[in-house]
Amino acid sequence: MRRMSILKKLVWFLVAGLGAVAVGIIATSRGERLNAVWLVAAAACIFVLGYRFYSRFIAYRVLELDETRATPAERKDDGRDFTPTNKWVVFGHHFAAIAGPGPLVGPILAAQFGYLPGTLWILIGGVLGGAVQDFVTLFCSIRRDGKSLGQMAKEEISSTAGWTALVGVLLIMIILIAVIALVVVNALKGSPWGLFTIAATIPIAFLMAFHLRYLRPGRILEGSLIGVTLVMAAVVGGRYVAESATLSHWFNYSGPALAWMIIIYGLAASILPVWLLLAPRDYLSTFVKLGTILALAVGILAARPLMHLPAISRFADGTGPIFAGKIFPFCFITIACGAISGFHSLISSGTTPKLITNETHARMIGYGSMLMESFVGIMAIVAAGVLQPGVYFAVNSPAGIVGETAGKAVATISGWGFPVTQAAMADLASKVGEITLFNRTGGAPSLAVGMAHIFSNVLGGTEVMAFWYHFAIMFEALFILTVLDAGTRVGRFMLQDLLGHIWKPLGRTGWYPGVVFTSMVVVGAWGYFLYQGVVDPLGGINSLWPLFGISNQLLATIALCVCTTILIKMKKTRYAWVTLAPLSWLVAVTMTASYQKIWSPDPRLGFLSHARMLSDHIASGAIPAAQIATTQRLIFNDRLDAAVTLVFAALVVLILVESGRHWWAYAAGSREPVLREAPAELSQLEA
Amino acid sequence: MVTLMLKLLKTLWTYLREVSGENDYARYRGRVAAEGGDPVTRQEFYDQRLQEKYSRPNRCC
Repeated sequence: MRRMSILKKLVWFLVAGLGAVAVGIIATSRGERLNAVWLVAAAACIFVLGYRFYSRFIAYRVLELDETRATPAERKDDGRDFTPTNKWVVFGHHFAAIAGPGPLVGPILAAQFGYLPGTLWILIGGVLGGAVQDFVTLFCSIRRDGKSLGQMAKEEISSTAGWTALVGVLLIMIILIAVIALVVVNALKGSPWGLFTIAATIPIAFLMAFHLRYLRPGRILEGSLIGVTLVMAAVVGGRYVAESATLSHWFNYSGPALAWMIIIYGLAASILPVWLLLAPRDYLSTFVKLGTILALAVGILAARPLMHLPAISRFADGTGPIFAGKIFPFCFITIACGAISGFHSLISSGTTPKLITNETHARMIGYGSMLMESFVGIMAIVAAGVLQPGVYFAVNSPAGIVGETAGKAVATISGWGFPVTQAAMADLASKVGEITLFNRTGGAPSLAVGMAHIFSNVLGGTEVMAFWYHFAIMFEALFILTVLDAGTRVGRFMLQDLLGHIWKPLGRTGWYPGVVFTSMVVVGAWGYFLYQGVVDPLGGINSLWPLFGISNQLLATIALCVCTTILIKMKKTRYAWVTLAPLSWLVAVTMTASYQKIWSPDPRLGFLSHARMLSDHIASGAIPAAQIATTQRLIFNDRLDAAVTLVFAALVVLILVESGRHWWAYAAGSREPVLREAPAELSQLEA
Repeated sequence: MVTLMLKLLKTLWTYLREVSGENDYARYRGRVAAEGGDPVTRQEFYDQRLQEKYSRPNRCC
């Protein structure tokens, strides 16, 4: 490595100094309101330093990236799957693929602990965990002709590890879709304006589909521009729908009704041809998503808002209203995407490695994209932090915790030391064009209120706050539904692949009865969890989001086990701590969270103790006869959630034992490590 | 200044065309033509790309 010039050293010293000052101000700020710019400055400095120094260390000391070695994109170039592509284009593809609703919703929910725990986890977890996982997985896949995580687990560890990865991916798909659908339901229930806007995206997608397939095939930018214009018109038009006594009735639904609509929509999206609904919605949501993230960054810097949430709230003790549990482990489960997300390893071992022109680009694409996502997570924390704490908790707390009526809710929340009034909530709801903002658990509405606050401060004032709120809701729901469409379809393919081993016709993706059957199984699975979340008196997020976090971190555990195994096989055991450190942390977090979610004696936290409490209530006659069937269903759901959590924990143990067995054998010399890399060839392309 | 702005806009447009995949067909056609093959139509190419793209995890949480 070349030595750094004095000038460069000085610049990096200044960046480090600014970062230290920003972190110092954040850490010592108590009582007075912190300007959000300090959070942005701390994140920018830490991420830039992490990229410059830590990723460089990993790239050249640990992985020894070789710029002269041909990548699969060059060696297997077929002009389709494998194509050497400009690194900035791959960066754009990769970032668009990894940045979903998780880095926005997770930090919003974790803000119940205050803004500091989530911020620190995103800063540290992003640099030392998430970005490392994405980068090393990408590198491993590049060296193996773009193989998937499951294939690498099978070849580099064992078939058991490969099967664990496959089952883990299928389970995470189901839980992920259920929980993000729940976020959408909670954002759109009783919101004619929001529902009209989202409903309008379906005919808009059809229109785009016909344009892209028949009128002007493949003219994606043109089609997307038409789509974005129409969606913006739908956001504006939504106000008139909401204000019309006749029309608003058609777009005003309860949570359970919306859950059914989403289940039917998911089934249709999985069965319909991909060009008709999924693809145009994906183009639409990608452009809206990237544009809005950019606008949010500009908005925060222009508005420089003050943080109103406390640095650490009283709910650090585990009694939080949104979800139960202490900072450790639940802050680290709640914020997965944004700090470390196992799902990213599927993208890093999917399309991206097949497009990379030069091995050295993996650093910017793998490590750099993840830091960008972490930055999105920091912006989400800012959006939550600018809300008054009373408002934040009134929007996010379920009725089962704070009370069914507005009066009870404000009394409970004010009693926690976060004053809020019915008048203030009614005024806010009116400003954002909603009937009520109480009990909107899920993160999306509070993020939308925060974004509307930031955007309206910069552009338009409070008069246009309703527009910005519904724009933010549209932005979140649009790309959540795209993840739902795409995830259901991929889940169906995976299930077909599995069932094809039992009965061959079920494995054929062109056999319509098989397509319908497997789609119904996948949709039925996530639909069940979604419905259970919607009718859950504790808000659903309390049980489903931790399940999602645990499953996501299970996938990260698998990815980091594969990465560590490969590092050991590369004779880089002395650097194995690079992946072992985040792996150890995730194992501690996942296992503790799993244990507490299953066996905690606190009924709000432990699934089994909650089931026991409900059983006791039935036995003691405390439950009215009319509600016994519903209560028994809740008991079943608790036990089901406990079983699912146990499966996740068992899979973590299984992959650890499988990997540990191999590591031990390599260390003891009883087994010779065999690296299954593609043969090295000299690159003919310019770096 | 105007020239610089136009240049920036052109770069942005080219980047968006590449990222969105709009330019993929032209590249594919050029490649097949160079190899003396028979390229599929733009619509067929678009359909095939979509099938490939949405048959594996491509959108994260």
